[in-house]
Amino acid sequence: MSLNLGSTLGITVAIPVAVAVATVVAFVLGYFMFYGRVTGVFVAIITLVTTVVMQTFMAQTAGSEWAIGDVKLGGFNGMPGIPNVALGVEGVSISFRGMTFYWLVLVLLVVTYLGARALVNGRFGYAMVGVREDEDRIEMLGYDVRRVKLTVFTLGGAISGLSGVLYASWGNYIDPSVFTLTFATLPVIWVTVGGRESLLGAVLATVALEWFRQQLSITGSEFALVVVGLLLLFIVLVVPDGIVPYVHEKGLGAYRKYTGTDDDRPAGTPQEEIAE
Amino acid sequence: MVNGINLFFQFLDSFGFIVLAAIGLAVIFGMMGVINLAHGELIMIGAYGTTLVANAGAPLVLAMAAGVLAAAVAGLIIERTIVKRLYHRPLDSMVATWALGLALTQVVRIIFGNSLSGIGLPFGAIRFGAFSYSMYRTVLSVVALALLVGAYLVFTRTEFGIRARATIQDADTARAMGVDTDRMYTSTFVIGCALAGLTGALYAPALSIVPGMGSTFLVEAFVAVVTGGTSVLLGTTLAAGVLGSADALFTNLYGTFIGQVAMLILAILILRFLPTGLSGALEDLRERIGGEN
Repeated sequence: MSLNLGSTLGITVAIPVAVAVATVVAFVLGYFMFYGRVTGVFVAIITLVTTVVMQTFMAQTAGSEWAIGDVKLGGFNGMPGIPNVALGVEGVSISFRGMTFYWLVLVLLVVTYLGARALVNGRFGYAMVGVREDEDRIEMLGYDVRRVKLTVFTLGGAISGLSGVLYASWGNYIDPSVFTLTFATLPVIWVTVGGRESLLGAVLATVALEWFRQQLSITGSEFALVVVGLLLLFIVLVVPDGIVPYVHEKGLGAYRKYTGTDDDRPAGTPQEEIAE
Repeated sequence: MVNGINLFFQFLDSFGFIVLAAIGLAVIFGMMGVINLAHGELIMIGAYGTTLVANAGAPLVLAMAAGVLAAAVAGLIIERTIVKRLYHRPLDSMVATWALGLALTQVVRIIFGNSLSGIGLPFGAIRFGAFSYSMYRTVLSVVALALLVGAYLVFTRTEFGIRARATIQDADTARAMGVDTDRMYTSTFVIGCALAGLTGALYAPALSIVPGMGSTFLVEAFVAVVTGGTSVLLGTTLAAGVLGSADALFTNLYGTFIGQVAMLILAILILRFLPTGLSGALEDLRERIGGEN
């Protein structure tokens, strides 16, 4: 995206445009899925198939007829020469690379985390959790389940779009391997390992697993994917809620044992607030 | 230019490919509600088994049997150790089988390297006018059809089929009537895996044998299962027919990639407008006509 807009101002504009494209794609795909009442495993399959088709598409764009503006998509060879992230107008601008790029990503991570936290803790967050726990009940309470799902899906697309911008400008290069199944499903591993109901879990597991994967690749081991796959298998079978909620639960248990109370809620709270 | 005969052969090829890609997945999904994301890897195991045995000098048919056996054994191990624990968590079983597939692909890559030397395509080509089509791939579509008929007979005419269908419809009642539902699930899973292995074995001579070859089949398999709907065999047949036509037509006109896109778009439209899938829509239609009589 930013290759067509060479100037610094261009790069500043390219970032929101790229995020917007990802958002719109997610919205359209999400509309067809959720308003078609597609649920559960089918959602997973459709998104998976879309990824494979995108990969097939990008891989066959080697010819010169596949270009946006002056920039060739390049097929398997990818697109080199993507500029660094830069903000501002010509003259007054900051270009991010090396350490500054690291700080930029860190700040964006914290902002995204806090934003997501605020969202989950707010009114809409309750609707989201409600949809996760019991779709029928939340629908009876007057929420439009389809709209909640579409909103969350589109938001996820926007955040992914941002991460795509950062990834491309980090390596100054992008190729169709980002559309391979392995690449597309790595986030599934991070989130499952960390705990799919925990934002903090997703962040921690991502950092830990990627660090681990990097270490294995540095030592030249081919076993990185085997270990990651087996770890995921182990988590799904043994700690289905993920590591962070598990540790949290255990820690809470130890704390209660230590203080000698079975209940960390204030005295007088009814034992079962919500009857199942 | 669309050539009628060429289009027909292309359709046969697409139809056969979709049926063979989907049937193992469809049987497991229809019976157990489990989406086996290691499906592609089981196809790969079937192909590897076949190629290795054939390269060792065995006749092709024997090699194919070895490939099917390898996939069936792998399926048995997977069911006993992993899938069994996740019957009531379909999304988790998806993640687990996917993780397994990831590990399997990499293990195969470590053991056998990035590719195996292939085995030659048996039979020759069919020639007509300026075109020719691989005889072997045409035979495959006949095999696909035979498999569908065979599976239909097994599920409707045999004791096993009746027990299997009883287990899908109402597992509790089936158990009360003395059906060992756990064993039914295990055998269904193994049959599904064996069918995946057969697909791998059949396509082993026609494809390059690489660890990631399973993903070649994924799009067709998943799209067919999703659009087919609840009634597995009928659904797969209908989906393969409809999607195969779209694929053949658009591939013929605009190339392989557009064929795949046409298939995906058609699948999304089918899901949007026929939420119960093709087989569900057909059953609704039949009921409506039956109601008027």
